[in-house]
Amino acid sequence: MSGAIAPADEAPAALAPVGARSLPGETGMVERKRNRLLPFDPWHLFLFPLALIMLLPMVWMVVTSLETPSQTLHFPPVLWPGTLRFGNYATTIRQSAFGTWFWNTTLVTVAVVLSNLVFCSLAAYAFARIHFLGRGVVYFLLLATLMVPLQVVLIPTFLIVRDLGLIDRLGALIVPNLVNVFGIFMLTQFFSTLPMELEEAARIDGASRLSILVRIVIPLSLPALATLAVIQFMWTWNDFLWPLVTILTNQNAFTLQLGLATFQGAHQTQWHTVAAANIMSMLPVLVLFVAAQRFFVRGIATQGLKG
Amino acid sequence: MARVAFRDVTKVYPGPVVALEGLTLDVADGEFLILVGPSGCGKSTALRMVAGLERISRGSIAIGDRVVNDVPPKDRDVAMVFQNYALYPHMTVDKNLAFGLRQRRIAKQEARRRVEEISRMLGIEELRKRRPGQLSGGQRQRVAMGRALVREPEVFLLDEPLSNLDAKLRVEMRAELKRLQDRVGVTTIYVTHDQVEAMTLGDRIVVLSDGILQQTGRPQDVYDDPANLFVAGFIGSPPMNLMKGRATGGSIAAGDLELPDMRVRDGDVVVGMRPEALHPVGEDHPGPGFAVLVDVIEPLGDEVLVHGSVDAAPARAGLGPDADEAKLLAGTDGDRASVTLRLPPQERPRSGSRLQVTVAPRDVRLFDIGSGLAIRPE
Repeated sequence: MSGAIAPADEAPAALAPVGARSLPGETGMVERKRNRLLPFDPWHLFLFPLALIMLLPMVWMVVTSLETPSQTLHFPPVLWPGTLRFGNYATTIRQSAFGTWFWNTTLVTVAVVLSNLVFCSLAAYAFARIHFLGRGVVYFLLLATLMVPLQVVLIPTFLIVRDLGLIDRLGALIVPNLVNVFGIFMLTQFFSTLPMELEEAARIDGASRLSILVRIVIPLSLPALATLAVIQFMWTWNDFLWPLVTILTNQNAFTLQLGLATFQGAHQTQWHTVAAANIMSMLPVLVLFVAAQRFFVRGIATQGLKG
Repeated sequence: MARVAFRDVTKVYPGPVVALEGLTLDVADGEFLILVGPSGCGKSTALRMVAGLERISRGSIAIGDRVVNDVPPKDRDVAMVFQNYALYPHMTVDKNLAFGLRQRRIAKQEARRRVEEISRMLGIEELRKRRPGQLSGGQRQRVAMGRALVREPEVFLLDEPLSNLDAKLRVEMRAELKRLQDRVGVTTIYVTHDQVEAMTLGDRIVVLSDGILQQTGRPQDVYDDPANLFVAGFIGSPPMNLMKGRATGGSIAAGDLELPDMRVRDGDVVVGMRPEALHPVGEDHPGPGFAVLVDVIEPLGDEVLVHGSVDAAPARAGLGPDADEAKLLAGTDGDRASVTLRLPPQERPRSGSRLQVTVAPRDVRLFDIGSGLAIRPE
């Protein structure tokens, strides 16, 4: 919805079906006329080609994954291979340790996402609601670490992980990522917006701090937690640099991203297997996105208040 | 059930802002006490301190025989209804009602029995499977009451529970609330800024202003005999008419109003008269009276409010000579005091006309012009 719509039109426009949206500055009469000419918003004429351009690399990847090696190297690119070689996927799995990589990545990602949900919630609740000495300073210092790029802390973190004896193990990928400051920040902001009276009511009802967090705050924060889970999942799933640094020789601890890199040889690259492996590694993120969508709805936190 | 005792209770917020100063007050076992006052007078703060949601800066609060200053809210055995109800939005009505019982580890059977009983009592049985988002304002209000009552607390705290309802529902719920408290008989502290609620609901009302207790007593006593100008201007709608007068030799003159034999010391005073104490009479009426220049009339159906002005200096319903300008509750019309009359519906004086009114000396209240305190006849 365009932000430029006059305020008086905003409410009806927001309720109207997609096809009834208007361009900025249009009057109702013009809008109705325009709608009879086009069954959709005229903006779509501009947005649809843009969406196609965005989608093209994906389509190319899918097509590549179904081609023969020679077709993948042909110029101009073959956008319709004729025969679809789904066998490329089976070959990819057979020729590599794809299963192991997939399992490792799943293990690391699930552990990191779960620990972040737990620890970030606890820390964020403390920052949002408990008045303790030095709260502001600690919060500021934590936020300050967000400003430091990964490359700067890469070596110190590596040294710590090495001293913990985690090099070449999955633990090296999990332990440094158990808590993410971004998650604390995001949840603190969300928790602060929850109505204080709900927690006060729960305190009078006899709930402890932990009980309030678990029974009142967390259930009301599902949209924020779902968002955090998806973001953290993507970051961990797609992380390449940190696994590259810490998983040195142990191929059994490779993640998908490390594994995918092995498909690109120094002298030749099997583009059809690269494409197939990429698509397979992308699927869980896509599935999660779609599945978590229903949580991305407007929160219900204020529905128990005055009507 | 329990009594509640405030002893010199003071609340100072960082700033420092004194929200409540030296409140000493006893709430008897089973009493329905109303804390009333304008916004920011400290009434909600007092209530929240009983609940344990605010720390007490100085003094003590006791529930029963136990001083609760350092007792956490969950161990005080109080229940509270919030102004915006604060129902848990993700729980059904049933779960909202049972939440406090579950937290206190009350057996499932017993909890269910109590929830059923309270739902029946409040007429919310058919709503039990719904969530707060699916309820109307009045229904949410009932559920909020139920959630507090189901716990069978020692003290029941209500923070402006009716202020979010529409006018009709508010009247209904007011009556229901009174019936409910009569039935349950639990010690209740009720905070409101609405003086109709204050007058109708409580056994006793406590008037607060600027964090200081102004007067406490039975509603009718407070209405009839306000302790100071603030109470006179705050309790009653429309408020008491106030004008400046002067006492000389025991009689008082305020504009063309002359009151003999008032037995007060000489000096300036504020003369207060309730709108219903003023009665229109003929020009040649022998008793004490004065002329009102009629400005606006408001027919309310069952009565008519006549707003006008009199030939006397206006007096302000504040406390002392430094009373804040913003707290002027009595309207002023330049150098003429405004006055309001409450008349029967058939009497409708015309705007701009002069109306001669009389007042019985026993209906006149006098206040010290400096301190604002009521002057009792010597």
